[in-house]
Amino acid sequence: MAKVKVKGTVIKQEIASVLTAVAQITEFSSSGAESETFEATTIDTSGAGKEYAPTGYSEGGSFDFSIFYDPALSGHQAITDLVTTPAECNWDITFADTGGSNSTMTSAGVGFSFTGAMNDGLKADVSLKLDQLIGYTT
Amino acid sequence: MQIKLIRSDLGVAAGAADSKDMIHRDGRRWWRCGAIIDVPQRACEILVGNGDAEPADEEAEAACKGWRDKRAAVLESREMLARGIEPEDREAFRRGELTGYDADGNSINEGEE
Repeated sequence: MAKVKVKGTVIKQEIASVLTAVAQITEFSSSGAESETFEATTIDTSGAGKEYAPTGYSEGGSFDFSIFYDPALSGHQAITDLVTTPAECNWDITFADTGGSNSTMTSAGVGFSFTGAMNDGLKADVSLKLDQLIGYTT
Repeated sequence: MQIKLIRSDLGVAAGAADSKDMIHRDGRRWWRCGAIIDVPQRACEILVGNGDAEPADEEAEAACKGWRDKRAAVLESREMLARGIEPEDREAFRRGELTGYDADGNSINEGEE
């Protein structure tokens, strides 16, 4: 059992079969992954509790991260390339645990928005709509 | 066009066919440092610009005009990225005072005994 620090985590993007690290990430999150269910309650269900059952499908959700955006940086251009030229892309997140555990994922679509404020650096938010599921470590 | 990969920590993306330029380590596939691979022009520009590769033929050299400019800074930034060096620790990294972090997030210097 360990409390894994985030410092040292590396997120990598595929460029022509090569997984290369994305620079200047400040935070990341995975959300929306869930196994789907359907309501299975019927009139003759006993008790007050509604019944649910698995559909057999799971939603992969999305993987989002924020960066200090450098428009001249090759790695950041590789992300915006996915907006201008849509394509699936493989990603990898390598955690900072002692074993260097990693999870893989494939994005089907990419959202990219950037913001500027007088009292802050240029930032961008990247949202990956996942195709299938994250390859969780097991 | 062809590029030469210059790092040993470049993973192989899922779906890529096995090749002699890949090695297996820790249950994963990695590109061999020094491997020469064929890539499209945009990938060439990105991987060379990111400090992962160098042009390996005239076509790639032409696509990455000026790639040697500020190369030392690019490679240093790429190394810091691979090691997950925090922005506030970058100057210390440049001064050789730290090379990374231990499992608890404490700064370490692998060059020190």
